[in-house]
Amino acid sequence: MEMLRLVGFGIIAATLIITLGKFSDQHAVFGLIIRVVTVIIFMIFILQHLSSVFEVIKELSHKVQMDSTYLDIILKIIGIAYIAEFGYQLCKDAGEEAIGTKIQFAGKVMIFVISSPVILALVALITELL
Amino acid sequence: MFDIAIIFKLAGLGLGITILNTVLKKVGADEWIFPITIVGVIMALLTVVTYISKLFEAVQTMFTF
Repeated sequence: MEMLRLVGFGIIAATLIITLGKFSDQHAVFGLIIRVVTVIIFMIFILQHLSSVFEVIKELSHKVQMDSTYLDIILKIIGIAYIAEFGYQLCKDAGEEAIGTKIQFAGKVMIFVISSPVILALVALITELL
Repeated sequence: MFDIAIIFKLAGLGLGITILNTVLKKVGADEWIFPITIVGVIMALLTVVTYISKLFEAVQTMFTF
């Protein structure tokens, strides 16, 4: 049932954007703003449903007595990827491909920065074994 | 969560501005088109900003940044 409302919401927003686009060429900015708001509402809705998934993951990690710092890093990386994708798609829609690719590049750098301690720990572990 | 009214409000704003501008063109007061469009865009951006902050709040609580 949720899915029906989601799809209906998306279709209504798309038709509104088209009607606005038809009316006038230089007022495409309103179409873009409606597109941004629709995407944001979609993401907020999905994020709320995502929290249950993370609860399950956390529970599993507690059962396995896994070190929770790694889980936090993974969650952060997912968050960064999520936001970078969001920015990139919107910039591409607006026609600003260059800005979008820069956002993606920044996302990659941030992910690498956050995951560097894990890499160091791995290397330390390997040298220990050898 | 589905406040579709926001979308309709924005669409109404956009349509209103465009219709107003065409009327202005007909009347001949062309110089008023640009400021009106800017005001409309700013009002729309205000609603977008509140939604973007809501989104980032949701992401932060979710991914425990």
